[in-house]
Amino acid sequence: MSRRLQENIVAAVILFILLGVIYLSWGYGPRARMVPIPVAAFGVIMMVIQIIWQNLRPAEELHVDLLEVLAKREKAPASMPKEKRPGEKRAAGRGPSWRAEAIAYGMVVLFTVMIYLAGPIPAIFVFTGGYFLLSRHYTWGRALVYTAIFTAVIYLLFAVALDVQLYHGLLEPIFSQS
Amino acid sequence: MIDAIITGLVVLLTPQALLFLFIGVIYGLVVGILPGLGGIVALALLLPFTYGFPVPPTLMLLLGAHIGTIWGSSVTSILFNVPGAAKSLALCFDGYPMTQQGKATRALGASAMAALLGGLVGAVFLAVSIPVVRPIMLFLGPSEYLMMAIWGLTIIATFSEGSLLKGMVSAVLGVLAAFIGTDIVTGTPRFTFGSEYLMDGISFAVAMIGMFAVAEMMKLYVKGGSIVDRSVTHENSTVMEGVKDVFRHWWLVVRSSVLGLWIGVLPGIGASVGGIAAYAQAVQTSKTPERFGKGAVEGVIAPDATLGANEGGGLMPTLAFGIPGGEGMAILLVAFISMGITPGPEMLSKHLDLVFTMVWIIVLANVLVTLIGLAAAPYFARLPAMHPNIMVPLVLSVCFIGAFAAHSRIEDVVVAAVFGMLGYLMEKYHYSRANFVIGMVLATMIERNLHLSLTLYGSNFLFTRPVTLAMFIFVIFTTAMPFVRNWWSKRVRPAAGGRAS
Repeated sequence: MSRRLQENIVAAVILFILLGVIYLSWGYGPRARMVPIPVAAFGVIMMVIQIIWQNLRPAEELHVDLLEVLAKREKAPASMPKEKRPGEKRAAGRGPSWRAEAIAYGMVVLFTVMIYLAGPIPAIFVFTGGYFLLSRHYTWGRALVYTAIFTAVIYLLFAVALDVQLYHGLLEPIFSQS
Repeated sequence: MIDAIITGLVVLLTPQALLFLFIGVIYGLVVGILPGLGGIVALALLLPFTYGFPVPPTLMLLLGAHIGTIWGSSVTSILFNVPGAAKSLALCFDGYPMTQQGKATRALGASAMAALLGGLVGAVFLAVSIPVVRPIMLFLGPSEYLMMAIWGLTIIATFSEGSLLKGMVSAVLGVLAAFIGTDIVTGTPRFTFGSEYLMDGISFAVAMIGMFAVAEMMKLYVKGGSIVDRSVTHENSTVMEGVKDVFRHWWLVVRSSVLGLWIGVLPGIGASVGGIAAYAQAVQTSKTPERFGKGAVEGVIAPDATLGANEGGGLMPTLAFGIPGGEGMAILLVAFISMGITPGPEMLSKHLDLVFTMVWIIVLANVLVTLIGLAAAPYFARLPAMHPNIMVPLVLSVCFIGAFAAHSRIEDVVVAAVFGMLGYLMEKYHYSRANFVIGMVLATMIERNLHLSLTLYGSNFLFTRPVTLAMFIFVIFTTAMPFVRNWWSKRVRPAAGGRAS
């Protein structure tokens, strides 16, 4: 998928959200919609200009640094290497960019689901240990020891020292019954 | 007044009070470094331990912890691009690039010293300005606060991340995200889709954990390699360089401190606006604004000096009127009342010694935080070089449990994850995350003060309140200034070129 198409999809999604905000706001009272509607309308105008702008310019000029405009900063020549953004620069051995990104998203979703199901402390133990093992950063033994120490520190800090009442997870009733 | 200044200091020079200060500062630093747990959480957790002790040591404990959290959250902004609290957001803009360039120690040194000088300048100005500031505070109303919030929103145009149009769209999205929940004026649930959880709105702390910390860990995973690759970039700075930077930019420190003091004095504005405003004025007054966003040390000095001074300023409305200058001050207010300290105008006349006791505590706590900060900076600076296979799981774990601990709600973990993925996408497609958060922080203030202004002064309040009108003109001036300057220089350049040829 080309960069321009990706940019257009993101812009279209944002435009859809802003239009949705305006639609929903019509249902509120005059005072409740007094600020959201003008703000969203302003956003729609900006987004439409951005969509037109990004489709009329060459692909390599899609990013405009505001300080280049405001502070008379010289624009870097096209031949110069620019600082890369996420997904554009990767360490060797992680596979293609989309794959690494998919794993990153999956990792966050998985961790969230684990916390929801088992509570933060067991989820941290499983996630951290699993990460150490799958990345092969440590051997089995070391990974287990470091994970146990880290989880214990987190527990002592949050549950004991800061007295945070921890969530026990959706699965707790199943385990407590057995 | 001199008597009050001396008495205020003497009561603090007891072993118990000094020990409480040390405990408070260390505790504050630790909590400040943990994302999501800012000064409010730190103070709220300390409250039960304060009953039964004399007033001076208790104040040392509370204010020491409060000031410790401020510098603690600056550390994570500089080292990991993770603001520990909304007020430290501006430190990410140049602090983190300095870390990436191997100048983390210098940035931390500058940060600690700027916070100290800011705190000292703030304390001195507070002491001197007590008789002057009171009538000004009483004069300002919601319409003036509205203008200040709008000014805060317009200065986002000075931030370098992303394009102008995308930056504005990000700010719009941030403002709209803040409207999720029950409308504070009409009580209407907005954009909640029937969810009970969303009725309370989205917490800034949780949104920031997601938008910056979780997104940064996703980025680190995709990129591979640590934040700072020591095989490519060696740590090439010292604490003393940072300290010298602060003295080299002493005028910036004074300006930022006065700004921080002023913002602290105004009730309800909070330090979040202060840090952003300080950064913006540093960019606008710099002769080389093109260095900002790329690791300019002034971008670290200005927000930290403002945050340091802000605490002194925040005490003024808290003590004089019982109106907290910020969220942290609200908790302190509760503590004051439980200690038998009744805020009110008499505090600035009959109990002036107690006010100066607090001014002295701010000075002592800032000195202690700076000493610890300068000593620990070289060790802290090693953290970003940690391997991503260690960094990603550990930081994600702390982020998610921090998000949960902020309000003990499991839904906050989901919100942090959603904002993390959103933050990653925004970073990838150049939609400024900073603008989003600034929009979110200022939205409620704008809406509340707009409604109050309309109710109190009518729909023509802009023209019936001269101060509001003057501030409105100032907002237009500061917004248009960079564009006019750019247009003018473009006009002058071809003319000069024509003469030269």
